[in-house]
Amino acid sequence: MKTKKYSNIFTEAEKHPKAKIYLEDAKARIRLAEAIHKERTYQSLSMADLAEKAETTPAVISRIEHAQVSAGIDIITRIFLALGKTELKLKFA
Amino acid sequence: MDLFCYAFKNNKGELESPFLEYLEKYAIEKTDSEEKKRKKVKKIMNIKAHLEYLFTNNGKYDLPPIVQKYKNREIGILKIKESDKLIRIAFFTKIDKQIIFLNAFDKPKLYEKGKKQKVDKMIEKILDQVENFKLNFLKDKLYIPLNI
Repeated sequence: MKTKKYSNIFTEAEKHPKAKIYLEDAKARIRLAEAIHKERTYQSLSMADLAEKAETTPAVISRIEHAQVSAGIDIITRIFLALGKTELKLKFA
Repeated sequence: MDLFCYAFKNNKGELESPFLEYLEKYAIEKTDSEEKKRKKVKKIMNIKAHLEYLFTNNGKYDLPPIVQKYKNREIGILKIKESDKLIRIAFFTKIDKQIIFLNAFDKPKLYEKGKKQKVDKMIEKILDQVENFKLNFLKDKLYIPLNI
């Protein structure tokens, strides 16, 4: 059966000089989101609990856990210290 | 695991995929300005990162908060947040070792008047598609490979 013609948006986008950087940025956000969410839920903390401990807002925690924003090192440090973590291991690839 | 898109036979006799239709709006056009191209590329790469995340986790339905199971159905919801106002929602299911994307749409985070009903109707339509699709998947080969 004939298939309707679709653009291969991924292949086309990868030709852009910034594509690789954008992809790696997005992957890093997802890895960070996963790490924080796992630890927060493991400790049975709500977003509001963690936000209070890290002196931020639940909205900020939510945005980070949804891989929506690139968090700065200052907020990442506060979150991990609030989770009782003094070490952060993240895979970069 | 392999990635596929659910497809149906349209009135022209062609295989048409709702998921690929959704992605078409990010297709880079020759007439796009450099800035528009850059913004599209950024969005596409964000979508790709989420698809890869799902792929590397073997299409698990439960990877909160990015992937969640839809009620008690064999359907996963992949959420790709764009901003506080927009979440891209991609519905998928699994058949054997295949992840099949059923449909996708933009969901306003804060439902505007009348939009909730529209979104709910779409979800119900997708659920019907899934039931029919699972029954006919192997027999009718109604799918298109997704290359990311």
